[in-house]
Amino acid sequence: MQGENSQFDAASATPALHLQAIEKSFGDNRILTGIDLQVRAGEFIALVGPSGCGKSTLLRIAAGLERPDSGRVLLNGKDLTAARAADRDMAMVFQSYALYPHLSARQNMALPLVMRRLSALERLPWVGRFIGETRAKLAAIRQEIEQSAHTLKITPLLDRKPAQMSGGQRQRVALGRALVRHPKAFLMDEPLSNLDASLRVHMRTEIAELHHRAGVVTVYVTHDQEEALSIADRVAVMMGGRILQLDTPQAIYRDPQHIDVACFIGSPRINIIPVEVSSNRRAYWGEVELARGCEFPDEGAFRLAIRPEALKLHSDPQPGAFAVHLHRVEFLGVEALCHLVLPGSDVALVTRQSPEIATQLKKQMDMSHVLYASALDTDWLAFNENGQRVALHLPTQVTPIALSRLHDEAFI
Amino acid sequence: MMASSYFLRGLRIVLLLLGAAFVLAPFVFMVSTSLKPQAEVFSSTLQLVPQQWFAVSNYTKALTRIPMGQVLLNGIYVCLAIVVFQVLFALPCAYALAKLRFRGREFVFGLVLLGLLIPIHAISIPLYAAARSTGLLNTLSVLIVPFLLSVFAIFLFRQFIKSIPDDLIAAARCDGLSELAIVWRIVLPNAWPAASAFAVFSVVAHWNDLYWPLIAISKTELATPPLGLLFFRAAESGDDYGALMAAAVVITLPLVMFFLFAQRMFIEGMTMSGLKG
Amino acid sequence: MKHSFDPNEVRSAYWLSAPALILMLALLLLPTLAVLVLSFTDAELGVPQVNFRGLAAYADLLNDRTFLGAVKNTALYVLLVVPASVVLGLGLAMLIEADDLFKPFFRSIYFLPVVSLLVAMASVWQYLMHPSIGPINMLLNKFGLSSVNWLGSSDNVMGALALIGIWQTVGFNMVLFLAGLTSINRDLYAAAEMDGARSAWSRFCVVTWPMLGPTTLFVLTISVINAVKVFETVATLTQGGPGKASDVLLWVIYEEGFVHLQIGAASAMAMVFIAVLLVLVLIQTRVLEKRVHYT
Repeated sequence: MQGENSQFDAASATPALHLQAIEKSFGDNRILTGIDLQVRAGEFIALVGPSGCGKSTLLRIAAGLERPDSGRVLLNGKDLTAARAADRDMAMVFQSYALYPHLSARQNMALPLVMRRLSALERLPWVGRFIGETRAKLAAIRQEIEQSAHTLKITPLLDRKPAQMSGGQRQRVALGRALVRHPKAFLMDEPLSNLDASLRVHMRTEIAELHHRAGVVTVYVTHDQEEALSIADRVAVMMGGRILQLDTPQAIYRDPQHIDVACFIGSPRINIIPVEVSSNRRAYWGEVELARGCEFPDEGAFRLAIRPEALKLHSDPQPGAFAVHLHRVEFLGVEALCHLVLPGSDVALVTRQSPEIATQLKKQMDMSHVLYASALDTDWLAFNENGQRVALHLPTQVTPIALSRLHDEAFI
Repeated sequence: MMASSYFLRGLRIVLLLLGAAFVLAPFVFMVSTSLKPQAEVFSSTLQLVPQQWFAVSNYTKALTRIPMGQVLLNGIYVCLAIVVFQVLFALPCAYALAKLRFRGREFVFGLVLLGLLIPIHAISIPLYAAARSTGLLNTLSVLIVPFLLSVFAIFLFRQFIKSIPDDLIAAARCDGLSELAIVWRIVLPNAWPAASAFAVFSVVAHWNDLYWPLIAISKTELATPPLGLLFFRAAESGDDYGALMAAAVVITLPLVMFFLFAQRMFIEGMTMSGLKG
Repeated sequence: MKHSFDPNEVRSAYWLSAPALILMLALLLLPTLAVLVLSFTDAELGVPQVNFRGLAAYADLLNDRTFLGAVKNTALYVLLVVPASVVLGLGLAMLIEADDLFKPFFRSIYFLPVVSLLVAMASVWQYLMHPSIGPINMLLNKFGLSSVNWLGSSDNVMGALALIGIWQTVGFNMVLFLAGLTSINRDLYAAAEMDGARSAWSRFCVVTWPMLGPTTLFVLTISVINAVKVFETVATLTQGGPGKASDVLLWVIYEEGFVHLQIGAASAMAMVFIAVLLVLVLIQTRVLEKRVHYT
């Protein structure tokens, strides 16, 4: 299920990078099924998903480091499926950086250019530089490296070996090695996951800026959903070898098409309440009616989901509110998380409140004290038994999808 | 790595098989010749399968010309004793060097490093003189005593013990264990990979040692396998290759069998002692 | 850095290391000293009188044709065995590592010579190399080549011993190289591929060879040291012959000390032997180790 957001006008019909109908298994393990990914020119796409969902494998197939069982890899219309990685003109940044430990930063960055521009004869140690135009080529390479080093602010590190650099510095050298090639696509395999949290946030912006400057297609693999949402033009959520949804970050967040997407994206996790929809097409948790005003397309078992920030708490009963018990409050400085429980069950809910309100609520906290939770009709998301998103009929005839468009326009 | 073509995979197998043939050839001929009578051995053919089954005669000679069974037992006894003592003496010292702080620690470790440079063969002369004057020559003990200490073991164990978390030792001390108890109850179980690696290395080295037994032992019944085979060669006339090969088979079999059963342990043992050393 | 030592800890440490230290003194340090002292004398086994000669024994060595011959032969042996056994070990390791098919099987086969009794296998090789009934010469004859006198000819004997030495040690080197190869970060090969290293040779030059640096150095050192210590094959097969053509260092030390009973002279040889090994180890730790470790 892939939603196409019309906010982006497709500039050209041919995608810059097209992974078409990719299937891949390792022995009995189905790693990728029916993958179709089209990346537009200059776009930054994040592949995000839990460990084992196949995102790294997909990236390696794009790079040419793995062969798909079936399907094609097309770059600017050209079929590269049979081409080996060295011939694809794509650069990759690895999670472990994969810098050559015995070479300096400069030599690491020079290697891809040396391998491509100098013949085997010219590459011979000592003797090579007396052959032909080797010296001129090497000088040109040197200059390009200095330029890239300047961009990445690693000029003072150029003569150091990887062991003499910090994680963040190695990261930049790895980026530099990819950058100097001026490739047609950048492929990044969790490049920031080995860095500590604050450095990660900082490097995120740098990578985004680099991409903006280079203007080249970038496919970025990560398991960190926050990272994916923050830097990508579009996000592909992958699970169990499939792409569940490919959309802008806002649409992924506001408008998940599958319950797995809704649960994976967003922190703290979205709240899920299992409900029974009766013949009157209204949702009931036990005796309590939830999402009053929302009409379901069918009767049966469904799951209602609501984001923590969309759930409001009141000390007194409100129309449309339902009873909850306050279990615990977590103070996080700028906000507080209130952990709730639906009475008589272990269904846990989380809401975000301001610290002041949370303090007030905490003062009244004990297991038997009841609070009331409510949410806007438009904030409820519904998913059927298969996990697929179903549209709810709202009294004002405004569809949730159109509403999220209104929200987005308000932010632009 | 990209999957290689069937051709390359086949080429690899062919090359490895050719090499394997070269490596295994001596073993094949060893067994084949041990089954043949002298006449066949001296006939000019390359036939591997004996026409006349002479195994019984050859192997009987191998086992009885010199007390081969006794020789093998001597080898096993000596090697085991050496390993046990080497671990016994090396482990506490390695632990002290790795985990305890005391004046002179660097000096002791320096001595260990120095010891690594001294080959046992070079100091055999005074050791022999000492053994002679104390009447220890021609005993099984003289085969064991010079090897009681292995500085390599101290070095190897120290490396390994250093990687044991300090907290583990601190907890043991809190529980009231003495340092000696810590060595045997905490360090040894945790250093088991290093200990077994070293054991493999030591057994193989001492099983093969000819130099020292050659000097220190002259009685056949006290010989270790290498010396035993040398005595066999001297006792047997130079031409009876059938019996010689049979003796070679008998004497090689124990360690080879042990290896085939515990291959991983052997290979990991040799590489581990190698790379850590 | 000033440490305040816990007296209990110090006492425990001394008790724990005492046995090892005493043994080190008795079995290593004092004997080494004894060898040094003996080398300055004309001591002889069984002769009570000992005269001090100073460095005369060493001066004699410089003119001793047997000793010099042994040095030359040992050097020849090292030069024949080490490069071949190291290169073949590396080649085999790379071949075995290249594919999963039959990997443990080949690994064990090539390691078999290492766990086989050297004296026994030397005897087998003696049979294989027999000038008339040995399979090697029979095989050569089948291909129309003439027989070679392997162990019986002074021109060929070191070569024959070297062949046995290579056979015996390739498996060990292979296993060490295998351990080194498997420890190479796989991502480096992927990065090399992305960087344009298309051929197996360029992958070897860019990743494998540099990353194997420490392993290669170790294998080289161990191989050289073990080659210098060659003894079992000589003692079993040639006893230094034919006519001193296979005299090696340890054999002449053994002969001089325990056959000719000249332990003074033998001690001088032993000191030279120690010195040679010391130099070899120093070359490793000083000169090459820095260049090969990247951390």
